[in-house]
Amino acid sequence: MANYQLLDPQHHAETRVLERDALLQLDRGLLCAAFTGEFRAMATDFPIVLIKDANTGRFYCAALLGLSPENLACFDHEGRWNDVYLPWSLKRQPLLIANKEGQDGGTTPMVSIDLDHPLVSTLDGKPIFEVGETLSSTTEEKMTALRSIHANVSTTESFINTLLKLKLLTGIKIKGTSRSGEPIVVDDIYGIDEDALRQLDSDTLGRLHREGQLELIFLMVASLGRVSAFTRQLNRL
Amino acid sequence: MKQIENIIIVGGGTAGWLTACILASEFRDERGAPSMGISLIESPDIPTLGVGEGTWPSMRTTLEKIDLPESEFLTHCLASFKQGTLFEDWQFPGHRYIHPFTPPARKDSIDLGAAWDASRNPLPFGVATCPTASLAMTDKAPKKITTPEYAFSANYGYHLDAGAFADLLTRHGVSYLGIQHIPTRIQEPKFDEAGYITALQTESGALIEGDLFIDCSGSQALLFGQHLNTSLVPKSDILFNDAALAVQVSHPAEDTPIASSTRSTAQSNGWIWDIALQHRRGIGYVHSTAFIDESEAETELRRYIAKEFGEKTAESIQPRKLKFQPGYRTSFWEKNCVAIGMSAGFIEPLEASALVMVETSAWLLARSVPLCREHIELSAKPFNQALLHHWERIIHFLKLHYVLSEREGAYWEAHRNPSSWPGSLADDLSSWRQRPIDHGEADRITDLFPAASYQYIYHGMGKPVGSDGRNRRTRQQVAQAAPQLFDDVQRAQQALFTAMPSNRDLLDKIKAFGQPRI
Repeated sequence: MANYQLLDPQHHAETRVLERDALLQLDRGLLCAAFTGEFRAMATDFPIVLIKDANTGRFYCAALLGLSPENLACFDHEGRWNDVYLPWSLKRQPLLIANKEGQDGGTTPMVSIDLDHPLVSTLDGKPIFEVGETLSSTTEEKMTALRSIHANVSTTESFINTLLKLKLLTGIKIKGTSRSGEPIVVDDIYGIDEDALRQLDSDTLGRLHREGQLELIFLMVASLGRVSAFTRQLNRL
Repeated sequence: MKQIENIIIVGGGTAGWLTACILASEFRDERGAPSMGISLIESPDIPTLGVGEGTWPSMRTTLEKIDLPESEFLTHCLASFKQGTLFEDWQFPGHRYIHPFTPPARKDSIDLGAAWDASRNPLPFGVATCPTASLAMTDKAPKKITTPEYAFSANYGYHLDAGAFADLLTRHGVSYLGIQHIPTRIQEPKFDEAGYITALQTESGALIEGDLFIDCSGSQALLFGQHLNTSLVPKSDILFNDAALAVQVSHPAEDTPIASSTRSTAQSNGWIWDIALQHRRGIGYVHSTAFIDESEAETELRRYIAKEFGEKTAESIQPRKLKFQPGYRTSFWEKNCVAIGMSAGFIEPLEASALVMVETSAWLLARSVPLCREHIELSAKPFNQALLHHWERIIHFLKLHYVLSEREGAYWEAHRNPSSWPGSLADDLSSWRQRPIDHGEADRITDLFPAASYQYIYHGMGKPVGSDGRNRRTRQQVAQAAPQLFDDVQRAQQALFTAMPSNRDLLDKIKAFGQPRI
């Protein structure tokens, strides 16, 4: 269960956050949310795909972290963090943005912390606040990630809407075999339909280019090159 | 040779607008611009016959082909998903069985529908053979919010409000498909010497010219009945019902569960339909005035409402009275006039056949419109043959529901009297005692109703799978494979029941988020 509280130096003076290697303790999902502003940094490490939110059916962008929970690309064979790009949605944890309702009925985004998050500790890790109620450098990094996410939410949404409107999405199915011989299938993910992309007329392509979305499309296409590295990695320790 | 370039549809409502949208979606060029003039004339003040209606799964394909987004349709028409029909009290009071749109499970060449054996399998036919029965018999949805529009986990059609549907089709037809809407009343058609309609005179005296005229004016059949010499052949000697008492009752709460199938509950002299939409249930007693008078019918309806909603609601309802003549015409395309909808015929809505007949006629017409008048006969003849056959099969299939009943009373006994049966029914019943209902039978291939539908009714009403007792190879194969397949069906039912949301939850989410397009 999540336990969200607005971040404040009084209540969270003793609160600490475990380091990134401790991401091992996180629920080993295969995907994490991705935003358009980090596609360029992310594309050489992770396939960038679209998936549907189980509760709403709406699409969102995601980085595929691996093909099985035991074989995530961000960890080497000894379980240490591989020197890959750390997506904003992982970097920010356990912080998040919560919308606080104001008296006028509007909402203000406020930084909050999930106290039940596995990265939160009172004993180990780096403190959130330093002496004098200033933010530690770790916390500053997480806040930067939060700000980046916040700044990219609407461009990411409009990119997804463009892909849907131009019918540029197609289902992807990745098949591999684990070392023990079991078949592994990752589906329910979506990528760029390259045939549809090739059929776009020059006016549409020009518009996509001017709006910075053409680059994002090609970054997604290129990022799928990581899939074969992933399937090879399935067979390593 | 004058080319056919303008089609005039007379009459709005679901029949007129569905036909217009289907024709307009077919006659478009590569850029989506209309390649045929399509106009619809409707009198501005005739109210639409707005009872709760059911459709077949074919409506999903139709709406997709006319480019109507499913989320918009579901939300605007307050519609829900229809997975089949639940028949209650038909075999005898207290009995129920399901006729779902999903066929009995098949694996390789084994048809579970032919493997069911009541002496070995305690489950009734529908529950034993249909993997989605757990959804169809409850309030569970046929898909999830992540399923793309028009796709499904369990095959479905819709329950919809006909009035809202006609409105939506009007908007879509005019603004998206380029249909010309002419709100005016028709005085009379004008003919040339060859007997072809050249134009329609409106009440203001104006003439609307056209090349092909579609009569969707309902039972009044303005063109096809009143001016062309065609007649409606009554079928009340086979299907006795000729009247209905209809009400709409709101759901008691905003989150009241929505049933996944149409309920059809047999009564003393007919049956009651119960169709759940998002905001209300449409309920009606279809009956025969030859067997029961109106006040008795109303009493029975109130009794049903009381059982479902309580005494107070039952006392407050004011049923609408509808009369109809069950029957259909002997032809539907005469010269340059085509009848679609109630102008072509009407049968009681026991298997929701009205809209599928509109769809079938309109798509067939769209494929058959010839280039010019001289070729009309080439299209009209097969059109008439196809539709006549469909009407005959509907009568045949609906009658089957009645003849298998064991209910008491003069009405039901009259149905069991073979003198009221259509020709082929007795042969079918004899044949099905000897061998299983077969998908390959000639009638099944051309029938509007697939073999699976016959299986669901025939075995749902307690009849065993036919056999002549001979030991055949297929019989051994079936005996070997069937037990595992029946287990698989039960497992699939449980998995689907667990995984699917309720209809209410799904429809609420669709209202909030829409559905994904892929």
